[in-house]
Amino acid sequence: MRSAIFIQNGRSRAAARDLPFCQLAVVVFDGYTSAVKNPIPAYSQWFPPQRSGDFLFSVKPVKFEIKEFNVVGRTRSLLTVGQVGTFGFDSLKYWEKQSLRRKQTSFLPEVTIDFSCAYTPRTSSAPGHNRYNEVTEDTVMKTPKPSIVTAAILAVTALALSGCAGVAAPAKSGGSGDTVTFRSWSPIEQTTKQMIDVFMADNPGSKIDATIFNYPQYLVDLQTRASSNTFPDIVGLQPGALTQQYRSNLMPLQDCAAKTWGSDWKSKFYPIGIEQAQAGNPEGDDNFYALPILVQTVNLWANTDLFKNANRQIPTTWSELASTVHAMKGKGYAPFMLPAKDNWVRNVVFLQIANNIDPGLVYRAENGEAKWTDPQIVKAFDYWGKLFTDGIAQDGAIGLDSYPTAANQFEAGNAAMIPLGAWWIQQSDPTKDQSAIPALSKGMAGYQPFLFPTIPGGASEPQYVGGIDVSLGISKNSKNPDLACKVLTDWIAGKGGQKLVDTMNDVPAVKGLTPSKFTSDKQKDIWNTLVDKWLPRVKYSRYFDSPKIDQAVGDALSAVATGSQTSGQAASSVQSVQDRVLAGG
Amino acid sequence: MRATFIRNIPGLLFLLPALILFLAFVVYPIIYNVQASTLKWDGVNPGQFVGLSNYLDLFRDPIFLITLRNSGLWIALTIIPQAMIGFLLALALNRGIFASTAYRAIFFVPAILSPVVVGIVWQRIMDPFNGVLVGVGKATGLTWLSGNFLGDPNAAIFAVIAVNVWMWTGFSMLFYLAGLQLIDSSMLEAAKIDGANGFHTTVRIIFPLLKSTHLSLLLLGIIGSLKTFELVYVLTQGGPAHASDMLPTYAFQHAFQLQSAGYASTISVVLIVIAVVTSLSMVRVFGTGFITGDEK
Repeated sequence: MRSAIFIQNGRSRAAARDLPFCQLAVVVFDGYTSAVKNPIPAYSQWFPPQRSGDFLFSVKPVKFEIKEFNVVGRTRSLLTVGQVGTFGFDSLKYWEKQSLRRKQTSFLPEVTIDFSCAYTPRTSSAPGHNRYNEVTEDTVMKTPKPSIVTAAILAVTALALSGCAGVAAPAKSGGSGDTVTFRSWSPIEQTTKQMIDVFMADNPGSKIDATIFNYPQYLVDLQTRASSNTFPDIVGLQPGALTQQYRSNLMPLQDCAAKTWGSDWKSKFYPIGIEQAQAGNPEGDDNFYALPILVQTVNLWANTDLFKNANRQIPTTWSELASTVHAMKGKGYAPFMLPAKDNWVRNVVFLQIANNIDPGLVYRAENGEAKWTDPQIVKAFDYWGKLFTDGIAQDGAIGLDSYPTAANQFEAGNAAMIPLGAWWIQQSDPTKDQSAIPALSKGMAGYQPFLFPTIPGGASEPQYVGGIDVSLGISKNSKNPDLACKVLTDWIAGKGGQKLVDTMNDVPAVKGLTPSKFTSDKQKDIWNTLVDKWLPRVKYSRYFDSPKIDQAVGDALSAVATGSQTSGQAASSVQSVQDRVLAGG
Repeated sequence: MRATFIRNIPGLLFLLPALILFLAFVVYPIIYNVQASTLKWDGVNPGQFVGLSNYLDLFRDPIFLITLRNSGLWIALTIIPQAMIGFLLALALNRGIFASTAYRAIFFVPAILSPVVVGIVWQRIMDPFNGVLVGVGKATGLTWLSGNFLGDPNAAIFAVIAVNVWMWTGFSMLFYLAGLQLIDSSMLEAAKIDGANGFHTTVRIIFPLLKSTHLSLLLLGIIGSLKTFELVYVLTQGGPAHASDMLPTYAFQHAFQLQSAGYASTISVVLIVIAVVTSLSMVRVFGTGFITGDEK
């Protein structure tokens, strides 16, 4: 019998020299309590430890004997010691489990064991069964198998080579046969289904495979698909940065538009939609990588019931806003409910203020023609801050989200004014059961849209801010570009578009598409105001071109709102991000 | 040597499925991330190699320091209170008080709810305008309850941590209950015979006997803290002004909203390093087997 090297467990103090292969279990009786009933196995160990796979399945009952045994105890109980015996495989397992459970508690005695071990392996005539007799120093010591390591390195290298970060995936996309795939966050699922149904009824045999996500999830999905060759045929897009990010995956749509609507197709759309559809295109690139399906204004909404009860008029100037809010205070509702937790709400309110102060200046700051530290922009930050410091916004505005909380509160009559946008008209969706909607929303009875009040020293008229709600693009590598074009144009201005407009999801991107049903004359009036008076005059975008600026402005506004930055500091923090963006950072 | 390799082939084949999964879902993403962290990349279009400049930017990024501070706060302020409250609840329920099974279920319910649901509910509760806490504050005169916890940059992270503690305390309680039931009653009897009172039994006997439970909760707590995402995202979106951002929320924001996947990967790599260093030091301090109850 050759001697072997043992891998010894850390805490075991058993001497491991010159041991033959055998199993050992030592049971220490706590002689004080329940000695017979509950022996506490203090130590149980197999020799050699089950490191070698050879022994895992070939453990046989062996006999062992402890010749000498010393216990150094720390407990109050005097330990009487000594348990020697023969254990089978199962019982050893059992002891081991028991001991594992209890071993690690500090209550147990520390045991030092000196022992030697005699063993009598049951020999078997079949050579494979007593392989432990063959184990040599060589095999026990031979740890990590170089072949596995090599294989792992090779495999990892292969994986890394086939899928590197930062490499544009060779694009191929979407559905096959007569199927197109559609992924977006908007319109909502129910409406999308109606649009698909009406398209498929007119185009038998074609199929649209659609999935609607919430917005953050959609961004994840799109990014993953763009880098995994599964880019959808039709995708929902925000104008500007998002469209530009996927530009290389998208096909120009002007041919599709001209084919469907004729060469003066652009006149069908509201000008802001056409302008924003190209936002961020590189110099000289006049392609339309996305076409708008819905557009909107961002504006304020009033609860007319509360205004009537308070006997106040809807404010048109800042001072009227301030006095109205103060007159309405303490009546159990928020005079001006500002859901400032959302970045987009902060930014659109800021853009309304900034454009009312110096129309268009912020966009010049964004493309480097002006500075964010311009006194007029600082003033806009100032007025944003005044919403909080002058007690216009409700307490805790910075922690309130727009959807669902603030929208629910406003609909429940807990606020007199709220900054949202044209889409609020969908509160009285004619395709929905009217008995199930809140009283204020029925036929838009309790609501009136209005523009953000003018600011002292600013423009004399409130400015129109808005833009594309959602636009659609088609994959450059779509297998069915004609079908995709047909779907896209149908949803913008055809029967699908009609279905969409019938739900009043927002204002259609094309002029002249009118819901087939209104829930009230008031709703019709509001609709006409939005589509005839407001949208054709929208000149200023509700978006920034760069997501980094969007974030920087949102952060700065949040810092001003909470008082951690002055308006001047906020403006310079945006300018420093602006400098990095312009420098290509 | 060759003979042993051939003999080991069946074993290696058994390992293969796990190895493939490990390579595909652990090793490969890590390598991918490390590589992406050296790029200026929007996640879609071809990236541009920038070496370590993302790392230099990151270590100069004040928001990154906020996320580190928040992770530290999160680890300290969730694990300890969660364990303490959970331990006390477990002790109480282990005595077989009336309807203890029902209580156990009730305390555990938050842990099985979706963090999104918990987030929305707590947002309503803490809504400073019309929330439950404000209502309670008004009715009882405890005006501090009307604070704008989620909207105050100094309080937001603590508010989210408090919700997290509420959510996961039942989980700790369940762990401790399981641990308590494994304690040998003879030991407690022995202590009683020796004259130990309830306090001594709890502090000197029960508490140390639950060491493996403490350590399991500690490790799970640290891992959970480092990868916290949903609750923060739903309650504050990391705001106001990043005051409650954690590493994962900040990485998500860069990857998908700010179109800087390269920078987000840099954050993730730092997160991996922190997680690995933490786990390894735990293993170093407490031994490899502490979580399974194995020998050190």
